[in-house]
Amino acid sequence: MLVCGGLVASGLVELYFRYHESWEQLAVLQREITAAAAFKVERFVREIEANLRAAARNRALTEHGLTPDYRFELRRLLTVARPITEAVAVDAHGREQARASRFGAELPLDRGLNNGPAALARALAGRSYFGPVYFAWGSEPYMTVAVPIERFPGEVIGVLRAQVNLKYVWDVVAGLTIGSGGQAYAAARRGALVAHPEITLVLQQRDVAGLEQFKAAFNPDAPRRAPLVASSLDGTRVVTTSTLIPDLDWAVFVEQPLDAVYRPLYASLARTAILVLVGLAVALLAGLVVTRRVVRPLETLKEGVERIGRGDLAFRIELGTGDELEALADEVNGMAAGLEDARAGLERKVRERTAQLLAANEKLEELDRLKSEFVSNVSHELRTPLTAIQGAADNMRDGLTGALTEKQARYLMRIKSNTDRLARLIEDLLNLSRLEAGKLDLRRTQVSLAELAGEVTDSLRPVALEKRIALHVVCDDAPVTAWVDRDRVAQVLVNLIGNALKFTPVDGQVTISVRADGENARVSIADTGSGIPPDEADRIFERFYQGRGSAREKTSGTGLGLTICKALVERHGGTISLESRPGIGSTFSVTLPAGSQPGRAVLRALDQR
Amino acid sequence: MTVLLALAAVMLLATGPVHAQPSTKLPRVGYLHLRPTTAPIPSFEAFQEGLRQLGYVQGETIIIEYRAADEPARLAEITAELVRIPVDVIVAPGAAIHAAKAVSTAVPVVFGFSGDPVEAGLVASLARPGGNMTGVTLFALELAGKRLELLKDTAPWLSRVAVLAHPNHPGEPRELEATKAAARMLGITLLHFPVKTLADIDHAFRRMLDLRAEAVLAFPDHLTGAARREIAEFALRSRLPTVFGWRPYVDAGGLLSYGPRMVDTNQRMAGYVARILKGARPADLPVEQPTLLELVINLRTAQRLGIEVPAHLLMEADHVIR
Repeated sequence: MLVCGGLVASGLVELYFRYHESWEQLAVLQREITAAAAFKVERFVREIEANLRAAARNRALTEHGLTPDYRFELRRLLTVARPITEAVAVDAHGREQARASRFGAELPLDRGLNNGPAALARALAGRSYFGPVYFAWGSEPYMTVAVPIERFPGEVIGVLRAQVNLKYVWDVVAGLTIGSGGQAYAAARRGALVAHPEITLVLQQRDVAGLEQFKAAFNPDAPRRAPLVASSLDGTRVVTTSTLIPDLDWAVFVEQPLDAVYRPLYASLARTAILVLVGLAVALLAGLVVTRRVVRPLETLKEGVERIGRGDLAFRIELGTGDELEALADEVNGMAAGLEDARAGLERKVRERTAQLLAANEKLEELDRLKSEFVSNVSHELRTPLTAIQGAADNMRDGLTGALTEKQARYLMRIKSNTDRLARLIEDLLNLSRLEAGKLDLRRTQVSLAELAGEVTDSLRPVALEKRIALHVVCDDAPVTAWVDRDRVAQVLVNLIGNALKFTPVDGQVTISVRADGENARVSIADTGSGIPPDEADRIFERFYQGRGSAREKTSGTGLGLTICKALVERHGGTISLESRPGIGSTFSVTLPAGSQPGRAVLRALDQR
Repeated sequence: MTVLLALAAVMLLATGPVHAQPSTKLPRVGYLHLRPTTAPIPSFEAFQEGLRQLGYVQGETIIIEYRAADEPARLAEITAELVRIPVDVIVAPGAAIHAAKAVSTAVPVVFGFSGDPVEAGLVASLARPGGNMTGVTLFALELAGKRLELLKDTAPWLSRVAVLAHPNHPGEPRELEATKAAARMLGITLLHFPVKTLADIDHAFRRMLDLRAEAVLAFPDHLTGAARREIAEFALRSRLPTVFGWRPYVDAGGLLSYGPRMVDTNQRMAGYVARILKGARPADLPVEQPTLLELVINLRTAQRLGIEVPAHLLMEADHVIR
């Protein structure tokens, strides 16, 4: 469309300038032709004048003056200048002295024409006289030309007056070739047609005074250079220019039919239009070719790239244009192939790594199972001899083996203390291994956590009293219940409150809060102990981890309490967390599923964890 | 490709010339002539030559029906015959014009008339003829005095000149009158011999001698034209200088002729025929005066007559037959 628009626009511009250039060229050409035509027409009259001047200055005049014998010179003049029909020589007083005529002595042509005095006066003043155009015999155009007769240069002794047949000017204007159908003609100021290629018009005494171009030619104010479009004598529209011949008071016109002037312009216009049409057709064809050769492949390329971009890396773009676009498509195909290979390699590696991880995991799980099984077995095996030792030690303390010395009693106390501790350790290990093996069954009931917290607190109150620690339980007014295994939760609370009392110095404070927390129930144990550093807080729930610091070192624990707490809480579907600020205290928070018996599905899911 | 071919075809149609089919009908021209003898007719030959120069060739591009009457009485009959053919134009030189005028006012007529066509009633005016006739005039009246003047220039002693003229020729009275006027100015006495037949001319020869005629002036008409050789031979025998209106008279042995150039005049008539055949109306075609007048001098005749032609006349002559 852009190309077509360009072609049409350039065609119109071309036509516009061609029209103006053609018109300018025509104007220049026609002005030159008019000037040439005017020159030839004037030259015709000037040659007559020259002939007359030559006859009016000969040797016989010098020797004898103006006598009747001068008629022989006049007859010679008639043989030289054919357009002159009659020549008359008069003296300075206007008296006829000699005459020569092609029609005999008794037939002066200018009889009745009152130009004698004017011609005489002008010629006697030494200048040539060119009279107005008149028609002899009713149709033949004539004019009078008069020159001074000089005996010596400057001595005017008479006037030579000649009647000139203007039909001879026909030869001049008819001989001019002016374009196609063009013509030149001459007219006198009064409107008489002097010369025209169609001599009939002259003989008919056609008056051209009414023609627009005639009025313009003799109008001194009218512009001279531009051609005029006007009607000719036969009504044809013509392009006309004119030139004045001031001495004769004639105008010479050159006219060309408007059709003939416009014909080459129309032909040029037609050619340009056809060229534009051809150009449009070629542009359309080129457009189709471009569409087929460029746009279609581009669309195919775009669709292919999009498809590959969506992940279809196996897709290949087929163009077959054999050009740069096909090379580009090949590059895209190469990139897609590379991406496909890379992705295949990546997937293969992922599969391999996954398989390796799965295998490692399985191995670890197996190791963990073996470890738990080992711990369970060992613990079990340890408990039997330990129970035997405890029994034996108790019996000895009870005096079944006789009275004990103080030293023996002290040793037995030490044995009992360490076997108790060993028994707890074994119990903890067994619990933990059961938890990790998923073998710990929960016996859930609806438990009032406030009540349970109160019971646990009361059981530990002696320890608090011993260390003068203020121990409080804070509860919501509304009952806070949870669907949990009462004993296991109690175990958790004992552990957490026990730890708080253990790590809180004398005169400290431990507060147990029981609150509803959305769909959960929350139990928080806050102490005013030394707190736990942040770097230890993350590890506090790990197995066998025991905090550093003096307070920790003084206590005797298995290092499994918090691990078991965490496992038990999570076994219930709850969470356990720690907030601690060293030097101020620590707060352990336990959330547990609140409310009554949950759906069986939920319960089953929780129990299977 | 189809589009390009179609565009090329459009281009050819848009710019190619269109040729008109030539018409198979040839224009037909009737040439009417009064010919008392079988002597050659130079004017007809000149007329044909004029047509040829304009592209009209007898039998190929134009058909010329030539009809000659040996006496004026038959002119009407053969003119009617031409009208019946029919012809597109009738060419009627000289006296034949009256027969053409009498027979038809519909067929265009081209004349070569020595008299005044307005006075003869052929045309309304020279500039605008107005009817079915037009043609050329031959300056008969204007040139009558000039011929007598030239004769006087050649033989200044002349005082009695015989005039041979056909009394029925339409321009004869005015021409005779003009000649008489010139004769008076030149101090010449005219001896008028009206002649209607060749026998009248023979009779006139005898009467001239009886009346001591010193020269002969023959008006240009079909009879004197047909008898131009007899007139010239008689004048030579009788040692009489002669003056005529047409060159063929001098070619036949006459001494002087002054008048329109015959070839030019007949070619102009051919020009009228051509323009009428192309559609012009005779009413719009102005009657033309001859532009070229020629003075022909037969120097051999002058020598045989013992006349020394003045040098200025020889200089003025367009043709000198030596």
